[in-house]
Amino acid sequence: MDVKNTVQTDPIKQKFGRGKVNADASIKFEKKKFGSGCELVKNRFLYLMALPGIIFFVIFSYIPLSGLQIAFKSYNVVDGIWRSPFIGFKNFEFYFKSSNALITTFNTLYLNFLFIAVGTIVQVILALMINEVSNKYMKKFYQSVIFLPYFMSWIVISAFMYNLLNHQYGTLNMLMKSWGFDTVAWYNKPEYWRGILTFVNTWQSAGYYVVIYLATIVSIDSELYEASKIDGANKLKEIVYITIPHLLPTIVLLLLIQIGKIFYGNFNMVYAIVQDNGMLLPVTDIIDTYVFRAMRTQGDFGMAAAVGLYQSVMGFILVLVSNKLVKKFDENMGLF
Amino acid sequence: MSSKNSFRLKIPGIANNILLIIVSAITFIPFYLVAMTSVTSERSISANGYQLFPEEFSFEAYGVLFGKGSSVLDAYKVTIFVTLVGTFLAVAVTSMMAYAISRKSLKYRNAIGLFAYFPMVFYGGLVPFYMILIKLGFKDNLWGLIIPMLVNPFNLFLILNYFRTLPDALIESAKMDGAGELRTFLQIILPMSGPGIATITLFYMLAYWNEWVLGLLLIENRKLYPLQYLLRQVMSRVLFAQNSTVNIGEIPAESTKMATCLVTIGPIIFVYPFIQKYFIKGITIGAVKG
Repeated sequence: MDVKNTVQTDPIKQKFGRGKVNADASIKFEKKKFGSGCELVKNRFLYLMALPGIIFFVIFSYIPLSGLQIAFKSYNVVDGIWRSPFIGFKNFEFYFKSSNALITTFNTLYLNFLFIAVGTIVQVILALMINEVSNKYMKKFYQSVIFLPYFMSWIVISAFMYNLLNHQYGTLNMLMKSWGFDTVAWYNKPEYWRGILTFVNTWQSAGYYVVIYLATIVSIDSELYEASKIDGANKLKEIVYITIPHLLPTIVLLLLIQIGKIFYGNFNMVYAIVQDNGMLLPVTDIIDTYVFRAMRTQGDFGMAAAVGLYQSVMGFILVLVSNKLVKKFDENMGLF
Repeated sequence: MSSKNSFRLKIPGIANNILLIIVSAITFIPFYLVAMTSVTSERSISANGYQLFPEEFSFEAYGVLFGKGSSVLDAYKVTIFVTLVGTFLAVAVTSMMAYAISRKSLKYRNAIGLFAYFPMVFYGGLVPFYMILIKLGFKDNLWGLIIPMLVNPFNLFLILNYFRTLPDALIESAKMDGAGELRTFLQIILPMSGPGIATITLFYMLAYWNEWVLGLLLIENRKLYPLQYLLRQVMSRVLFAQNSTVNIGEIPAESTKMATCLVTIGPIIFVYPFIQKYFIKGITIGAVKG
């Protein structure tokens, strides 16, 4: 029975927009004439709106992937990417046979570990402290001040550090001198720098995480606190038995996300602060700064690409692992 | 409650505040020091270094910065241009892409979403990225400071989540009135997305203002230095804040460094009280919900 009348009384046509009921009451749909092309045409404006963004990712995220072949080549400008001679894993050998691989990998991982561990402890404590402040204006004040460094670029922060640590003029040395101590050539003493970088990193990023933790704390049902008061709990018990357990999911989630990125050093921070200071390299040279130097200073594109690839692969594996762990924790919270 | 009880409750409260004040002071001290040392005379700095309070006030550093031959003014122009144009384009491209992904009627929206998401997880490395930049002709080119930052996946998903909270009925009623996709977007969705758009606008502005690595990679022409990169060159004495052929010994180097730092962060500090809440909102939505 064909359903072609203009008044849509047929429920099938009403629901699906098209269709015929065959003699045996099975339903047959008209075939789409253009397949998936129909979709692109039908929604062409939407796809056009997405196009600039798509092109952006193609150019800056996907095409570079094809450039990774440089890692396996002895790149020279004359031959370009495609015709430079293929040398297999020689670039990787160079990096891994030298002590650089060990030093830069260790520095990257260890510095990040310090940043994450110290950072998280400080952030959680600060969030708890700010939460306990009764005056809401002071609360806002503390949060604002602690958040402010996040808005500074690492160059600006390096200027802050120069102001404090410069050997000849730095405020710290001037203070030490006036108290009768000897001045210290901070920028020449690698042994202080894991601590210095950790401190600076915490100073810069604490505010960001405190914001997140405070938002989580605020969402805790206040009835829980009231009920615990009735049961006679003091402040400390409240924090340990109510606040922290509710914070834990967020803490773990943020930890896992950061651990997932542990192979990626903070080039921006380290290179802005340390620049090309050779004395500090053993402690502050991370994979990212090594790659940068190999590329810009030594012009060894092939090796720099190889190390970069190594970092990306390791980083990717870690992201996958940490994501699996996140999902075990809470199904919905994975990155993908 | 007995007065003894409330007194006991007060001590931890007071101690808490004292500790937080100390933390705030430590956090704020670098800003204070940079401001103070920038108005200290070069003479007293050469003699006694950076002090907690200027021994001798002097605005000579600012005279250099805003006088003739100053590189700072050029850098300001560059950075303002890059930030304004970049932010406008970035918000446009990002929000349009997010809008497309948010529309349930779009068959390939998940593919597009994944496409935008994957780079967050696997990054090809500096070398290929740099080579693309050069191939695109971005060396010593202001567009090289703008285009590589046009879409930030975090911001994309932020505004995407925001669009998703808008009721479908809005779009449907626009459709029924015969509006095309672009018109729907511009005249219905955007006006309703004020807070979301404001948030990613500010995120992008901050990112553009603070960006220096692109300058490091691409810019050699001193007249095109963005502000942050200029600050870096000034700090490492590669460049003085003044290009004229003045006797280098006469330039107040140490205080100029601090003054340059201050003018680099100046605008941010000014607008900070107003923009703070957008960042707080954006971070809590974006980070907690993944």
